[in-house]
Amino acid sequence: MLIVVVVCGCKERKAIDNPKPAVYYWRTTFGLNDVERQFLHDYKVGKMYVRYFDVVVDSKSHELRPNATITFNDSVPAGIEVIPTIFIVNECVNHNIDTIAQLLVDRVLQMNETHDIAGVKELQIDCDWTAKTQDAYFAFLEHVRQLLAEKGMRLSATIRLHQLSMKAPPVDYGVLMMYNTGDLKNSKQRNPILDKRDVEPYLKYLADYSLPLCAAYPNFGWQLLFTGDKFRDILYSEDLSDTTLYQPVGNGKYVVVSSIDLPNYLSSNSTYTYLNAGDTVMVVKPDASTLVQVHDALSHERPGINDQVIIYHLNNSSINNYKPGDYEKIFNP
Amino acid sequence: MKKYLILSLLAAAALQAWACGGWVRPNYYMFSVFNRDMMKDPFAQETKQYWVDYTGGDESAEYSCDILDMVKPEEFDKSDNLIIRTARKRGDTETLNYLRLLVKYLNNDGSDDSEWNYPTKEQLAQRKSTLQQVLKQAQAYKGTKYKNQYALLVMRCNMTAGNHQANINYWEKSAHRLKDNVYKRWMKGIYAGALYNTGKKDKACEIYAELGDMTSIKYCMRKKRNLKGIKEEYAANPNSHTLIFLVQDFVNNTQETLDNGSDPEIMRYVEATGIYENEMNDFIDFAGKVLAEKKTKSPAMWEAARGFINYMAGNQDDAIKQLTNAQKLDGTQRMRDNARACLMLASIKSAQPTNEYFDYMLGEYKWLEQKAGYDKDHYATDPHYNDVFERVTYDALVPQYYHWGMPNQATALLGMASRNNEYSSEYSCQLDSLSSSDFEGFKHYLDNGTSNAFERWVASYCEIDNTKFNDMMGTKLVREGEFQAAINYLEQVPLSYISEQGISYYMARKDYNKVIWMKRQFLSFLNEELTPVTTNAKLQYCRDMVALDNQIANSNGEVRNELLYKKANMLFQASHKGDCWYLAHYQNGVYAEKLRSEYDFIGTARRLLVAAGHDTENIDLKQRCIFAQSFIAAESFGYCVTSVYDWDSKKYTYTFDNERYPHIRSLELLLDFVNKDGNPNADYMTKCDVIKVFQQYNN
Repeated sequence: MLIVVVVCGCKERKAIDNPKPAVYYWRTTFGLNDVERQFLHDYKVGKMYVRYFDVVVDSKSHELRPNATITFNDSVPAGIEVIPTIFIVNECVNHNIDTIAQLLVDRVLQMNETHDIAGVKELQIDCDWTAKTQDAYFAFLEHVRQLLAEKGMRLSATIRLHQLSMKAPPVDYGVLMMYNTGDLKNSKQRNPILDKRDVEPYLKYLADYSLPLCAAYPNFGWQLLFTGDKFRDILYSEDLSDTTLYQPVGNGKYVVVSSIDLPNYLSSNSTYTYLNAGDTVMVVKPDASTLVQVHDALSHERPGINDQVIIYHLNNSSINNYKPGDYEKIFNP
Repeated sequence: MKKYLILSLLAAAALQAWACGGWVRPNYYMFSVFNRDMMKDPFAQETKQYWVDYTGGDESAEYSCDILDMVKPEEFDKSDNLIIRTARKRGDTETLNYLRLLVKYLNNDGSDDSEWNYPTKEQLAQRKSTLQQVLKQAQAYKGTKYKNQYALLVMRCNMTAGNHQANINYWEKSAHRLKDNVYKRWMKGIYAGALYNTGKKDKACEIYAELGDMTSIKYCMRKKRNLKGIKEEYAANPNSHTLIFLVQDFVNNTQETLDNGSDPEIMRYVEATGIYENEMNDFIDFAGKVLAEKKTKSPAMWEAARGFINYMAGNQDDAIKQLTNAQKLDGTQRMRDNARACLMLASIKSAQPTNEYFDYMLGEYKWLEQKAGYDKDHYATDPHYNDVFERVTYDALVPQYYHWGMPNQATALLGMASRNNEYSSEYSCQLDSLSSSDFEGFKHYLDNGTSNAFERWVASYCEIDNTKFNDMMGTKLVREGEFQAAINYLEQVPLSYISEQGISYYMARKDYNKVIWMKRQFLSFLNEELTPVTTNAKLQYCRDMVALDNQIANSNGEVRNELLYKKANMLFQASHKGDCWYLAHYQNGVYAEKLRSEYDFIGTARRLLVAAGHDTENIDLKQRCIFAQSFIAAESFGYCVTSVYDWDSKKYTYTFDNERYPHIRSLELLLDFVNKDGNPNADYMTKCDVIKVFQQYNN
């Protein structure tokens, strides 16, 4: 008698453990205003993924070092779990990244202790790894995961859309980044924050992706600087209502009418961007209907992925980019 | 200061042998009335020099100064740092005491954001307390030798603690009376920072300008970097230090706008065009007013600024007149030199190719070389004048030579500017792109065609010896499909010459007789190294091709079909997509394209395969021909298939762009052949991954 046993464990790894409504906190100073506190309260946010620091390659010593460490000027509201999140510049992976596994874990633990951040059970690593850096990056993750396990903590990692077609990293679960899906240089044709056409090619990988997944969706907007059709920079919360500097020409577009110099948002150094008379600034915001459509398609392709939704990111100026009802549809569909 | 004008995608990671194509050359700013070194840390060099002198001229003291913050206070007495060691050796207690306190400060200045060791709560509290101790000790210093240094420590401690008002008081009550040196200037900079942070921004900016701290001025002036700001500053003080920065910045920004404005996209915005034209005209008028008022001590700068803006605005006569005049006016020597450099560029626009003009250019180029201070490797000691050299050459005179119908002179100018760089220069790439006849013409020009002193000076940098000429001519003829003609040149190229070229690595390891669609010959460019070759594969390839053509001409039937198949492989191998691209190219990469004068290697190969596959009755040859056609078609497979996700039904559909990629039908031919009953499908057919995907999309 021939017995055919069909084993299918894939359903078990679709969703993550202990899901809660969540937000990313991606600033260099930790401080919450009333609007942000109200947001956390209204949507019963239970987790906050806080960027603690970046890891970069030092331009002089060529060694890996922390950069842009967060300063805590405020405490995290009671009842919210903090997940320290570390952004690692992909270039670091080729610089003996494994040597910093212990240093990184120790630094995070010390930051928790110094700033009385209790109940931390997890660490998240964010890195735009590629096929070339995959092996070294994964070995590093395994090492970090082992160090965290000794402390009873787990490890998660961000997954970009293009990484869905690659091997899954050795972590406890992944956060699928549903933002920055497009190409900034071509943002006149598509929304670089979230555009369905950029998501389409990757939906087919979702069902079989081997890691438990949750999804992170954008609520932020961008002010993109162009010279002609050439993308040059992202501006940081520039006051575009100043008509001595910017002239509105419709469709969220502004022409620079007088040269000005502004801090460079894309650079970690203290550099500036020149806005020349004649440049254009385009205001790009995510579209709520697109967000809901993408959210639903993800649920269809991979049930359970939206059990935990993370909003990127908690910021006074971004919160109002959606109506309360839109957040409800995402957090509690 | 520079911005990149041309941003074409460069296959940097996949370039092989020669680095060519996709040049990214900055649109260097022409207008420079202050030295760009002033944008660097204004105090670092002088403070380091103090320690170099202290250690008896040991230059490594500069580095020791940089890493003083790495000395731990508790290890100070055993530190091996050169500066500390020298003071210890001399028994210089006063210096040691100062260094000990400085090290203590540097270890507690809060700049450990980049350290892996994150401070504990106790350490943070300790740091605050230590900073207070350093402050008190610095204030208590009664000596004279390090009076300014201790005063600086006081201000640094206050700054770290955020006590800006304390620094303002300290400077205004006592520190401003200290003797003048770099430490005092540094203190004044901190004082300016304190003023800035307490809302006294204008006063702060003027101090930064006086100190020549252009980086801080740039920050301070970030909201005034336009004509309105210039007018305000001038009204407040016609000789304000900040005007030097603002005027230079305005002219450079205008250049930036116009350089980018060469993109027709920007011209679509009518508002934009009007805006920068109005701003330029307003500036020209304003500069005229400044000059007429005669309140400025730097008329050379204002005259040159309006002259260069006039040049950019297309007012050529005014530009030439004002840039010439500026060289005679008051101001710094750099301001007058700046006018001369700008005039050199501006003159090209309206020049005629006369001997008189070329004599002028020869003089100006030699002056520019002297200002740039080139060493024997053409490395400039003043990078600004090197920028001028490049902009004048690449962006103005080379295009003007083409406009005058003098392409050989243009190519030679590229050679002069690259100093005959064999690899990785626009000259080498220009030589590579010439057809065999144009290259022959260029060689003739260098040997016999120059007609004035300037051309002879330029040509003196562009030697092409016989070996190089024969190698390049032979290669160009291979590229053009003239195999018989190529033999005559390639026969004269010694193997030792080829062995010294980047392509030798590939030539020694890749065989054009191997059938590319059956077995690829991959080599990592990362391991690229010069390799001695035992035969000139280009020469052998030409001989084989000539012999093969003779055989084809004298054969028929299945023999001919096999020969056509063989020739198709050899042609494909020599193409930019082939493994043996070195036969007809000096460089290759993933984004390589068919060159202008290149023979249609791939198209011809495809036609030969179609003919051989169609005529043959040999089923094995037929399937090889079909497979080979599919191999060629698969190159564009990724481009021609489009997947669309239906957001309602949540399903994918696939479409093929058969119109743009008609050769994709070859894949259908292969699919039909594989699916037809009775065909003896070889493994390479049934296991082909592309055909599997193609089949999936067709279902």
